[in-house]
Amino acid sequence: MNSNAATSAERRGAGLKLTVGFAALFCAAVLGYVAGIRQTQASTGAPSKIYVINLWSLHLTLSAGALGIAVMFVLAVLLLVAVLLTMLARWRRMRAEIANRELSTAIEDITKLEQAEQALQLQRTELAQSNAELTAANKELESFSYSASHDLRAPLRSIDGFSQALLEDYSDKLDSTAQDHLQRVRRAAQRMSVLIDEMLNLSRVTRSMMRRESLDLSAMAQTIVEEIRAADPSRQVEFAIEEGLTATGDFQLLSAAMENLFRNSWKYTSRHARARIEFGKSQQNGKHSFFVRDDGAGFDPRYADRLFGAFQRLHSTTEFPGTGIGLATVQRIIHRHGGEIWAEGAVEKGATFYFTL
Amino acid sequence: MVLNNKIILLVEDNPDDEALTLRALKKNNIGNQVIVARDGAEALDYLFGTGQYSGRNVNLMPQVVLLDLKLPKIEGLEVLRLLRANDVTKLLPVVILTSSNEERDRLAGYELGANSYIRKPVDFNEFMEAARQLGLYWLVLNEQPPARR
Repeated sequence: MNSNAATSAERRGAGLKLTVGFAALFCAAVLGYVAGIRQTQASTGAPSKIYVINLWSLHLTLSAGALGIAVMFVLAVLLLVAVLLTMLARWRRMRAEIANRELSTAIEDITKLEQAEQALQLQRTELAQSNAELTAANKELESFSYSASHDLRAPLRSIDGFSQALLEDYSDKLDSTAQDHLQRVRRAAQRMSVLIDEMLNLSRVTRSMMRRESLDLSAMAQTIVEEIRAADPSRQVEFAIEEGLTATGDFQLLSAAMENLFRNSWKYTSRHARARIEFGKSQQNGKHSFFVRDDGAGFDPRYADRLFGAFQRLHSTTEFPGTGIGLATVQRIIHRHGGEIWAEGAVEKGATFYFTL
Repeated sequence: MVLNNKIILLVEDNPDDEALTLRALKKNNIGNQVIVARDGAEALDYLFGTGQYSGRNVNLMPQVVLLDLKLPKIEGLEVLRLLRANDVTKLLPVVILTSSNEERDRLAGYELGANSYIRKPVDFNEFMEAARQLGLYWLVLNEQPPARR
């Protein structure tokens, strides 16, 4: 390296100066000594001892010595300065290198940051776009189902109404078969109306905004049970609702789900003179879950996987009325809360519906 | 006041629904005087004595207006808004009778000043019962607002 070469050259120069200095000192010393000897010889005429030091030679020697020391001192100072300057230069160079390296790293980082930000911005734009598309699709779906339900009902009303008008006004002209036909027409129209309502409900459940809050499930169950009982007070049903059950979720959706489960229990115990419907919590597969249990008609567990399918039923309409949408709706609600729902049951031994939230 | 003199204004565009409503009212001995308007404009014409109803004695107001929401020309809610904006018809009892049970329709109806909101049932027996109760309530039980001078 240049600095090293410079340093060694300087060092060599310094060393040279030192050597020269020492040599000068030595020469001066010798010279002084010789001069001293001669002087002594000249003045006394007698051979002097080699170690006689007379005043003048001493003076000369001392001067030479002092000079030599001075020279040495100056040289040492020069050497020191040279070393210091070299070190300073080196230090500065190192600093410059470090600064350089830091700068290039910083530039790299900034570039990476910019790239990352661009990518993020792109993703944000895409997200906003898909969000907008979804919202638009949702709105369209909502207005579609709204018009569909509204417009589909009007013709149903006509079908039912005029069949009834026929039955009433022309009863004397219609035999029992004819009347039966018209009754079937009426029932079909009414059933379709119910189906439309429930389908609307199901789609609304999926689309509606969820608002999570702390809910008292026991109180909710209590209210639902009272309503159900009030509609048909003659039935002998015992309700056992565990106290203090709470959960976090959307009030509307969970009320709808629980109401569905309770109404199902109420319906499927209607063939029994007495019934017991329970609501509580339990530990299932290591998870805390809630359950609604009844001791009614139950279901065949071999078909359990059809329980939650839309429009799928395990009983005929003549046994128990229904559309088969209820449990599908409940399942959707539970899933929207991030939970699971499953059922256990046996024929004529009741059914238990477990769900987690 | 004799029941016979009381007028019901039925605003309904669907001819089937019109026939069924008239039938239901008749079966319940209500509404010998049912005026039918088949769209929003016709309803307003009747109430304000304009258009095809110009020359009508506008002091003779219906006892109640049965208003459907989905109407051609002028929508039901717009009709309601106009009725409530006019001094002559501001207090006129209006019952919204519609297929829709959508919350936004109910909200808009009540916000615009409807007196009642009834959903037309598909089951005709239920429809009959609804008509019977409507008639009983609005024509017999309910007191008419006093005429404004």
